[in-house]
Amino acid sequence: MFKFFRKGFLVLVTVALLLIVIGVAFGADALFSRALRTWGPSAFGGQPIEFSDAELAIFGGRAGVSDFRAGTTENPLLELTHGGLEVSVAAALSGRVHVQNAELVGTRLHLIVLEDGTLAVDPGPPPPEVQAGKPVPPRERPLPKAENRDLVQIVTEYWERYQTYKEYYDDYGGIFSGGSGGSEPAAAPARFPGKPSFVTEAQERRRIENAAQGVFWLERAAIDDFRWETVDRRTGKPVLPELKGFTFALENLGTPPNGETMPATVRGDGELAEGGKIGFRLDLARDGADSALEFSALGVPTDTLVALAKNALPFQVSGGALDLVADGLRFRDDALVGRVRVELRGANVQARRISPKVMGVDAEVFCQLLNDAMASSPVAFSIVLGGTPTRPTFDVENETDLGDLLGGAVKAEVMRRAEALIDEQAGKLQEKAGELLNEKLGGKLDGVLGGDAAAGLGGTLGEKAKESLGGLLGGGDKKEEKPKPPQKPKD
Amino acid sequence: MFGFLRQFARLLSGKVAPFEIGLGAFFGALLALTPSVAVDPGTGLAGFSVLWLMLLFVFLALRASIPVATFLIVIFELLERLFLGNLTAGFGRFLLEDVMPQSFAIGLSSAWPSAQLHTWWGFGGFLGGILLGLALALPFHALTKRKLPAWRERFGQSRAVRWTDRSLTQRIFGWWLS
Repeated sequence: MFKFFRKGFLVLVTVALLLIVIGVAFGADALFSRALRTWGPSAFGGQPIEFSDAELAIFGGRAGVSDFRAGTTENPLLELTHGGLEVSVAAALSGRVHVQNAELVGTRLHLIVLEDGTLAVDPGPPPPEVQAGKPVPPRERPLPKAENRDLVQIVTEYWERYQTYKEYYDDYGGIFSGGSGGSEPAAAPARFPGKPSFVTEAQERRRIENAAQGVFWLERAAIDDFRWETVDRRTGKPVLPELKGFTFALENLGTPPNGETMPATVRGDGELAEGGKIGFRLDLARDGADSALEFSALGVPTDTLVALAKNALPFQVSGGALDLVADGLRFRDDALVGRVRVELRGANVQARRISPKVMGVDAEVFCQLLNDAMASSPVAFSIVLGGTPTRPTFDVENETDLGDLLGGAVKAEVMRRAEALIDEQAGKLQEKAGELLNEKLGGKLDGVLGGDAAAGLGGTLGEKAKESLGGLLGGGDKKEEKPKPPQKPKD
Repeated sequence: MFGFLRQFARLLSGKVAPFEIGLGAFFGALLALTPSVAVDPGTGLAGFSVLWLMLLFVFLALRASIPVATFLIVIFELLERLFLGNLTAGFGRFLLEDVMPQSFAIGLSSAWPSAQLHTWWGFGGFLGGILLGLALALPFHALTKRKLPAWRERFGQSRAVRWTDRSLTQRIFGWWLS
């Protein structure tokens, strides 16, 4: 029997397999380190990666990396104190990816806007020949020059560029492509290709079924102590509000085993270094029920948010704090309900060149009135959401009626001016009363009451003079000079 | 060609059994006609047909004559490029679409797509390779078995045979592939 077999070859294969198994068991860390250094950069848009230690336990289904950094020392992109991953080996053997736990600790994301107004990780626009073939559709309102853009405009430009040249960036393997490192060149077709059409149809049906079945299941992933450090080198200031500490958690993502229907959850909470707390929780339903979103940003300094989109806002806003709360927001494919409450406190609003008239009032006047109003009470309104997630509708409900607020502010201003005018007129009346008394009674009173009679009577009669002498001396005519309060604009 | 001569020398010197020549011929034809690449893109293993890789492993595990197989692979590869490939692909198409039930090809594509048996060339080449391999191996085996004693008596002790038998490949690979 054995004379039919090439015994030497079988021994060779057996020994090789044993060596591979032993090598994998004992040399996995080194192999993993090497693989990470080789293929890791492509996952970060070509940025170099560094780490102090990497570990891999194939049979235990664990992998980890310590003191990881993607990017150069001068321009780091991402830094990790520790990253770990646990997967189910049994699931992997059956062709499924079942992540039991993933954890990133001490994550620092660095976002740098360069002097030319682009992000350091931007792969740049496609070559001219690609752009010539399919130019980016023109915008209704062109963006300012690259070096003058705020973050929202920078991201907007990137997004539009990516949408236009998606295929190019996917091939390029840059930051936009999800780090594939460029797709493999398409294999040359076989010399005699072809298969029955019914096989093709069956394969397509199976592909759709498999896609619906899913191969990925993530039980839990957490990012603890997440921070980002951003800087705009044009101004030297941070691009995004600095985080004091943020924790993200992802639970039950992907296709659950055994047909379970628990919702997929993404949640996070933390604080901003400049003050304010942020928290959110997104529950994506699997059983056809509504998905839910809770979001709150409390006491967030207005300056930190306004800086993100300062070019797009019609007014210059500074100071104060903002509360943004979305509680009980629910949605499904064909419906969206809920409300977002916004409260602005103690902010200072200044008109810009592009500021429009508000409620028929000039921007400068509006800002002054609004600032006076906000000094005494916060401005709050609710955005009532409706429609569908893809075509949402917005209905603004003012908790603080802006008309009343401005009307009150105007009224207060009128009262202030009127009091000032009355005080001024009263002073004049006092003066005139003194002169009149002096003129009519002359030194008669001086003889009786002494030299200070005029002044004394003037003082005594001062308040009454506003009413009684005012009409006598022609003060009634002055009524016409009083400013009229501005009429409340019609809706 | 040198390897074939060496094999022939080893045959004459009594170190090769006739069935090794027959197996070599069989696997030579089979490995040549079965497509080694993934005919259906994306279904192979690193671009290779898993069936072909398995055949190669079995060929190496069995005591099949490597030089004979190599010689036949070269010959059939040339013939395949000339006309044999079209023939085997057409043969596979005829069998999969007109002879076998649809469920057969669909089953192959779902159960073992990396084998490429659900493609015209994959199925026709594999089946054609088996038929042609058997058609060559049986006469080869019969011929060597019948003629071997006479050849050994006539050429076995010649200096050329002994020199060819101690070839470089024999010294390098030793007993691993012998």
